[in-house]
Amino acid sequence: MPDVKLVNISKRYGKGRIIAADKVNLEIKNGEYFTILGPSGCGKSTLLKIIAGIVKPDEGEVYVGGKLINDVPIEERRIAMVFQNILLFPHMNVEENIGYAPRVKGIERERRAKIVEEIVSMLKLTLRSTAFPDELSRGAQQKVSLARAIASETNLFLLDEPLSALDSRVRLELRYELRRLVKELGVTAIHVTHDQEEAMSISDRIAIMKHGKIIEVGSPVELYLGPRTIFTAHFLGKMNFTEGVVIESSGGGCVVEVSGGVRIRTKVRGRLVRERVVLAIRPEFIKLSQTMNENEKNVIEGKIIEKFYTGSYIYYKVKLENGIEVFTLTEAEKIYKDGDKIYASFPPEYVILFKYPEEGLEKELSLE
Amino acid sequence: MINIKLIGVTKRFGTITAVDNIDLNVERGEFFTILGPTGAGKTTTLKLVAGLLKPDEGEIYFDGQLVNDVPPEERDIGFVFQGYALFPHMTVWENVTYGLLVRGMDPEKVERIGREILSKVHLLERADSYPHELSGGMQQRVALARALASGSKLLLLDEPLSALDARLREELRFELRNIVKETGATAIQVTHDKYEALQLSDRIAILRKGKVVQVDTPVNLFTKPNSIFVANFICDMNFFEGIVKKVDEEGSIIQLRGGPLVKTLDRTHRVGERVVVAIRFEDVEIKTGEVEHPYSIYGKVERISFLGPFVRIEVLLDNGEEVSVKLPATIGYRFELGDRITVNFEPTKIIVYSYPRAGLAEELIVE
Repeated sequence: MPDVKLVNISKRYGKGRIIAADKVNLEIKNGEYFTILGPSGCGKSTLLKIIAGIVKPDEGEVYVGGKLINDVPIEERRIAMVFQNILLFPHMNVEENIGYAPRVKGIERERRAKIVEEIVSMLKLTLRSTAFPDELSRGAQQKVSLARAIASETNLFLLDEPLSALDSRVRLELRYELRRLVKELGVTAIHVTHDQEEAMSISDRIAIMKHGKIIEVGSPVELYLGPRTIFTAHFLGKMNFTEGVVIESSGGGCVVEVSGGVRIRTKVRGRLVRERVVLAIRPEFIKLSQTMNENEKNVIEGKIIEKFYTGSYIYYKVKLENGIEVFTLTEAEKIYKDGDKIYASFPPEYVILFKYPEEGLEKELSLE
Repeated sequence: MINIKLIGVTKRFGTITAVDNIDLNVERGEFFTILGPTGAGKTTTLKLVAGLLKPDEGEIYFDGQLVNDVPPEERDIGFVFQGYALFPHMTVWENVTYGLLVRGMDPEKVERIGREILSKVHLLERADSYPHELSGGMQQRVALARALASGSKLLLLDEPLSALDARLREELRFELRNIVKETGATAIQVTHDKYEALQLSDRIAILRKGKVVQVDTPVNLFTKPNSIFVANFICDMNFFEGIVKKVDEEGSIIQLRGGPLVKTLDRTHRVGERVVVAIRFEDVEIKTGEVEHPYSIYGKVERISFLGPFVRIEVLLDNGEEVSVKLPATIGYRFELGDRITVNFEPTKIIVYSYPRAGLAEELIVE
């Protein structure tokens, strides 16, 4: 079970104009399920290729199991890769595809059959082992390519958007399979994706990447509930943002004045009075009610202007009386209509504050 | 605005029947979605409406007029595809207004429509940019603007958001419905993403193996799925095999494999009948510890996955079956791996289906 360490890795393309990796430092622990998450073009696949040895970094060092491997060729790195585009040998059946690596290694037939059998049962592959790849669904094909990676008996798995080409339903099912397998085998996995829900549900830790830089690293819960940057907050899921100015600050938290002179109480400490800030709260933490509740804090009157049904939960777009529009996520037990008058409360413990970004809020919220 | 009707439409490719005798009626100004797994015949259906394919059997009507023999260019349709297909040598402005000019529209009117549509998709400031200078999300919005600018009364959207990053897709989803609704056009969208379907549509048709299995509003599909396949496709649903033990005026008692009893309000099945009990992930109630109750089932927490607003917990029941539970994250945090758990199925939330002839596993295949 190797740990992986990247030290000051940089990589440029296109005569140096495009920075795919910009002084990246990462430490991935033994047996960890680690995900690199970021928008298209942020450089996440390049990092994976650098670890695999497919791409050489311009600067920096790659260590696997404590050993510098910059100059170790791909085939000697003992790494298994699974890609978005499934690469099975079309002329080999399921069994031959899975048994390919053991065969190349010269493992004799009987032992090979046993390895294949074990993997097939571990993956709960209910396929005919004599089927050819083009007879299988895409989900089944991706399972076979995983099986083939496992059969290579390496202990570092690099997964480059392994689920992106699959139907959304199949993708969900394979997600949990992937994590279960990696944990059962006790291997280290580095997974690259642009899908924030996939990353959160599958990973021990996540690195958020943007424009070739690592923005933040942490566990899914840490990053989702306590993001240190506006980009992370926005990228990991729907978030409401608005600008404000701190008008009171004490040991118990601070009060921020937002548009229309509305004051929002928060539990955030250590802010300076008159500091310009960005205030954020997730839709699921905003409470809606048709009556004014005296016990709730930060209650603002508003009106439902749109709703988006998602099944058991509904996203409402609410226009508050100070002109700000917010999204809320509410159980579908009670369904409001467009135009309904509503009281929205913003529990102080869920309000997050960020420093106002130098280049403005809009720029910071770009997802690409 | 236009009304679209398909009657007994069938399309075969060699020995494969891609679309099998389907009837659909899309109302004027409706945002209608065709949802189904890969290979269900969704895109073929859309191509038949577009006129890019000819049906082997059946009739297609636009506002009561048979269009089977009308070529695609005369059907007056705006298209948005997964790959944006913009003209690379034209600016955003030219891409959007090209169709109008070709039709000989008065330049002043073209100017007005162009500005209106581009501001609707938040791209007026980028009117002079070329497609390659734009991000994927922007290009997709240009493609949408071009389709809207055509002034067509019918928009066909083939997986319009699926080439985009997951997070961007979510954001655009909130905008797409509004933009389309404002033009008043009838829209038919094809997708395999249930959230896209639920959030955007007035009505949804679920397709399976070339057949329409259910057409309804998002709320009705979600709360009253008419089959195991639809329930599995549109809800996050647990399914258990069972045998009806007792039926009375209040409902029925069903015994699951390994012995646990479940109380339901269902009275449509007979004692001794083999059935499938279905309950949504978010409707399963769990408590820490073993809480005694005639219909409690016990188990232990096997897996916890964090989804952001929600936590999904897998519980291994003592009868060997697994049940998935979805909880608001603030409640989900209370549970830990290995915890002993009591599971309850609220009778009002349970749906009971007859045991399918081909077996339960077959009904749950989504590919």
